[in-house]
Amino acid sequence: MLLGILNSQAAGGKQKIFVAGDTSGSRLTSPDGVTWTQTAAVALEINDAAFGAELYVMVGRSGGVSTSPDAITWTTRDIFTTADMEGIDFVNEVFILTGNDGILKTSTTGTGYTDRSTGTGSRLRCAAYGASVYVVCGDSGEMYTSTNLSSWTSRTSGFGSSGIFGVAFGAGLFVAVGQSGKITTSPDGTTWTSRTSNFSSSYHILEVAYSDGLFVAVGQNGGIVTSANGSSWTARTSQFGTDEINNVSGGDGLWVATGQGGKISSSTNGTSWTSRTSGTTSTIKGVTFG
Amino acid sequence: MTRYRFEIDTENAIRIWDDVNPNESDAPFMFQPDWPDLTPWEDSAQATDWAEVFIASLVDPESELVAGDSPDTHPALRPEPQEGE
Repeated sequence: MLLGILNSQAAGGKQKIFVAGDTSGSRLTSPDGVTWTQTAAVALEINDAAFGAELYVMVGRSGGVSTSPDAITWTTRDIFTTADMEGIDFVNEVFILTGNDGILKTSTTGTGYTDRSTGTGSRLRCAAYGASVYVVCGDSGEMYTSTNLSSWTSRTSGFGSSGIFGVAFGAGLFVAVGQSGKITTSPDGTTWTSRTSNFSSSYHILEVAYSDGLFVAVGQNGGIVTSANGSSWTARTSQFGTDEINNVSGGDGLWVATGQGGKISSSTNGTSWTSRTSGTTSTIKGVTFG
Repeated sequence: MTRYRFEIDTENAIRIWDDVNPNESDAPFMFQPDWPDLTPWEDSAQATDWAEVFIASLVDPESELVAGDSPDTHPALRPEPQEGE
């Protein structure tokens, strides 16, 4: 815990750290992705994490949302739903919260949330922003775009009835990933192109992130693939074996992948990954950098 | 039921439209300039076949075949549903 405090209050301002949360509610921090410290544990099965507006936000089961300015002291937030929360993303200075029953909420502070509606009752899982467009995605290939967060337009994603589990924007492209190893790209959120992921179609891609000129996508069976342009993808060795990788986060030249059994791998280039000790055996679905 | 149409341009690139947003500008939802693995389309017939299989797999979510990622894997058997997430 002391390590987290010292790094969070480095002279001259806050030092960026990785913050992760597992399905037993434990929260972990790391200044470098290599050494991890457990800072807190509360009753929240964590599904995702994000950092923005000087706040770490974790979301999970039964409408659970908790926030922290330092990844040490956490505050539970009431978002007035008991639906399971699947995703939290901070994009274009806005938190976008997605969940079961078509739950879509936004917040500029991370503490109070505004209800939004795409009109769907299906589970929403992920959000991204780029090219002046917000994109949210979810089960059954559902995809919606908006320029103002208030009105949303249904898009045909190219996923058919397959679930979309992650979306990110970088290098001028949205990249959406999901069921059966599917990847599609789009410059504008409207027109999409199917790409070969180098994931087996037997496994799902569960998350994608963009940082430092690189897309990294992770998923079942220990799969990691990377791409600089979103079109051509290369498989990497994750150190997860056949375990599921649930999330990935990058920043300042560092990458961290987290998943089943509390496994964590870190990388300085997205290509070579090293297994790290997390101190938890619960699945780590939430990880963020900030 | 959603209706689809597609065009193949002079460079064999595929554009696919649907009628989900009839009041919107006429942007295709799918633009496939080459095979998903970046192999160039051999000819318009190859691109047409890919588009037809792709659309058929959208119209019938239980169709046996789906569009493949490369000439060698097209058409592909629809992946079996997997557990998880």
